[in-house]
Amino acid sequence: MRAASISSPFPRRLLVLALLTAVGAGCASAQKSAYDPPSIEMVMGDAEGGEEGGEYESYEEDGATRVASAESAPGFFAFADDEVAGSLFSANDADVRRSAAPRPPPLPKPAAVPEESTSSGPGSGPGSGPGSGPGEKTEEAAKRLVIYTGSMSLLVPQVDKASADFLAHVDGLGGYLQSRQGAQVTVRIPAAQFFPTLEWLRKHGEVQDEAVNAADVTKKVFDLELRLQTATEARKRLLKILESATLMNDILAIEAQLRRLTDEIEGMKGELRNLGDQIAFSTLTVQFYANAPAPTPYPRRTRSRFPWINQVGIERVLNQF
Amino acid sequence: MAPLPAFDVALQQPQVVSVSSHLSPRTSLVLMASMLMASLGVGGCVTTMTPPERFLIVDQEEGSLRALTPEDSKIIVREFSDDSRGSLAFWGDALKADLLKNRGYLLIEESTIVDDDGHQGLQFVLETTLSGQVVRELMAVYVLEGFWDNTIRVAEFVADQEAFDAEMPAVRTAFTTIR
Repeated sequence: MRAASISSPFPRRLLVLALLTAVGAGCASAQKSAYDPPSIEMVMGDAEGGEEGGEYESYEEDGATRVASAESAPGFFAFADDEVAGSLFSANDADVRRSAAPRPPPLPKPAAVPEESTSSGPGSGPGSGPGSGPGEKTEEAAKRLVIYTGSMSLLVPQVDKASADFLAHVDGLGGYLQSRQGAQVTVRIPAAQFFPTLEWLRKHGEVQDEAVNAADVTKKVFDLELRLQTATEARKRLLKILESATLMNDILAIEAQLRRLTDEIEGMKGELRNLGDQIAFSTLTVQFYANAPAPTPYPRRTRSRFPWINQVGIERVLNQF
Repeated sequence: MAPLPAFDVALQQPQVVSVSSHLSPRTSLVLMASMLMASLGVGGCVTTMTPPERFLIVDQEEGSLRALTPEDSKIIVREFSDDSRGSLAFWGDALKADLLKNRGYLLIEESTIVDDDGHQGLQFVLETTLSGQVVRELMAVYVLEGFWDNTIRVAEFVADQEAFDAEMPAVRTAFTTIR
């Protein structure tokens, strides 16, 4: 992976410029004398090499050592496969790898990662340390990112009226109708109104069946935001490298990587938006049933013994027109 | 109105009348007059009703009348011949037995009704569910006694619950005007 081949001589001035651009002020250790390795694989997150190669970028946040791996930032780490701007760099491999590696952004403070609430270390028990009071717990719970979905089967006197009342109620809460099929109504309601709406339904009919599902996506959102931030940083660095690139092959290679990164960033943004929408609006499906007796036509015999009686009644009247 | 065939036969074929030759001439005359009156009185008349305000009569003939509202609430009046001459109470019970036990209707109300001609009748308010929707019916039943047989007149008003509740008072009144 670290094989380097000389593709062409390269002006020293440009090399320095490229290195400075890519590495930034804090990476001044790039060696300007090494001219030979024109193709550089920017290996990040590779298991081999361990400490000396600096393949793992780790940092500490909240007492936990986190490792930026290819999994957590594929957009950036896939960079190594394409020999991007290899000829721009002439420093030795290790230094270049280190200098070109974008420092993972500081982790955003996790709002309330589930693991934290279940930790059982010393001082982590309820009320055993500062900030562990009930108020804080409530706050943590409020920060948790949860997608609520639910379904309910409700027995009501009149299906149409109950359905219309329910939709009016949802509309008043700022929700909206997602789909309707017969007496089954699916709505999206603001997450804060999810449980009050279930309570409202319980008061307006006889509950036959009820199911609530809560999916905690705090970690997923957290990871996604981290990956997005890393990819964004990597893209910025690529743009800087692009500014100093002169060879057409290099420019094309960098642009290809930029396109890929941009696609990934947009995809992650879209996923975040989707998650945000699902968190903000809970999905509730309500199936209404009439509690009036179901029509039981002719349970004992098919027809009356008196012919004229078979010609009267609601069904017959409706068929007469 | 064209003379009824039965009347013509009676005039042209005296032997038919002679069946009653054992009766006195006066009795026979009274009998014939009764037959004539009964025939004229019972048959040949178009069923009429003063419809409620929002109803339009769309079909009207002898022994049958249909009316609708713009929302498709329906009134239908029909007459059925009953040569077994069952009483009003009998037919009322037979109706209830079939509609409640056989068809699963709910009986919400039962009362009596008298039309403008003084005929006694029974009135039922019934409910059932069709396609998840509550539908109600007001059914009035009269037994009109005739010379040869009785006539069962059934007036029905069918609508979904909301329309039914709105229209029922006017329909009740209209049912008393059926002739």
